[in-house]
Amino acid sequence: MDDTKQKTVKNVIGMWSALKGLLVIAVILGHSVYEAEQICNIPVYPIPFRVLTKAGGIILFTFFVISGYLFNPKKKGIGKQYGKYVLIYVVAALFMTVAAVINDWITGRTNPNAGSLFLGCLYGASERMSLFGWEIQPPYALWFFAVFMNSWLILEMLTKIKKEAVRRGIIFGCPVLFFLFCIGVGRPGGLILERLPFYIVPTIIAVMLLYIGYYIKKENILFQKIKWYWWCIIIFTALGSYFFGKIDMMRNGYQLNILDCVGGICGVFVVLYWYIRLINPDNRLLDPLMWIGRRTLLIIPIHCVEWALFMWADWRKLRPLGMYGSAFLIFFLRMGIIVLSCIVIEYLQMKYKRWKQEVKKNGSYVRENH
Amino acid sequence: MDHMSEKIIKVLKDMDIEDATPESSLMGDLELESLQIYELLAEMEALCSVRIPERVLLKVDTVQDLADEITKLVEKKHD
Repeated sequence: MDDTKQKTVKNVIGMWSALKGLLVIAVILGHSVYEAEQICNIPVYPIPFRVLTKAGGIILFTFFVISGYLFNPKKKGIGKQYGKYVLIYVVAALFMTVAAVINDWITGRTNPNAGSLFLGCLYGASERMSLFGWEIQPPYALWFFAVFMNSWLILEMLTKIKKEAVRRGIIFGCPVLFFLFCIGVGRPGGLILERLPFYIVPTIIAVMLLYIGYYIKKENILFQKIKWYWWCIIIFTALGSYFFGKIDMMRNGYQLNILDCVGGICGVFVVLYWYIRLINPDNRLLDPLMWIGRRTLLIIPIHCVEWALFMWADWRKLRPLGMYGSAFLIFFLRMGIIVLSCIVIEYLQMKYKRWKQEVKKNGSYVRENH
Repeated sequence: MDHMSEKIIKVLKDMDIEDATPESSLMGDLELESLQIYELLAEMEALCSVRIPERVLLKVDTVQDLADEITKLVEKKHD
């Protein structure tokens, strides 16, 4: 293995964990900004928050591309791994529902949240809607977890297709069909088909993003020299999407149609390419980011549960703090709850693993001595 | 093969990852996903009763690299 590839393999997982940690922080801050907006009722965000929320689409895209980069097709155990994801989703949905029941009870809400939230988890709702007379609502950030686990499964299955052309045809063809459909029905900016169950369109886009990340790793593109004219095209497309477009992955919103999608991918490439070159792995600031990045799939469900439990947007008493004060207070409270919950859950997991290992060891001791 | 490498290879076998050797690259030869690597770290933390900081991931490529880092952490803990 040459030096370049050595760097790719040796450093990559830690570096990408740190970037995922940063993305998680950005997402939670973005959600806190949204809650603060509800509290303060301010129609226009301050500029730093506008920059952050504008980057929302590219943040999610980056997350999927990194996950694709770290993806490797499994030879076996796909069902077992998918089962673990489904279990996390179901447990998170149940905890979220219980949290919403508690919040409904404490606030004395006349229009309870819990039922519509639970149904939203079962259905995979992207927006508030009525289904056969039942009110359902999106399950906060759990949609992202659902999209991740389903897109992972689909990519695992697609990697079993031997013919590369067929595989790529499906992976890239499905999103292209969606964008053509948007144009065909006169809604080029998307925001359609959001009532389909279980985030079918976001999953299709996510499969493509995972595959792009996987391809970038396989071809070692991040460590190749990119010609200046390609950089011009990539940066121009990325900036065009950022300033003139808008990506709303959950609700299938792509203001510039396929250009937004391509622009988002270009933006991701710029971020990854320069991140891996500019960030010093010896910088200790990476440690807390890696800690968070490693626990992303635990943090997302915890984030949803605390969202349902505290319903931050109802905290009108924070209004005197203003937009910045409310947003950062909610953000730091959230991060505190999330970090503490992770520590407790992992402590319990560690206890359980040690107990299992003891049982296994004692079991073999008994077998050997009889 | 040292004792720690053997432990790691046994844990990998329990995770349905066969054919691991001390020279096997975790992401290269064994093609582990990030989640599998985190699972491996968690199992080794429970087995060795030591906290493995995420920074270790920046330094390891092979099974032997990971074994060496965990051995250092265990020795540090006992000092």
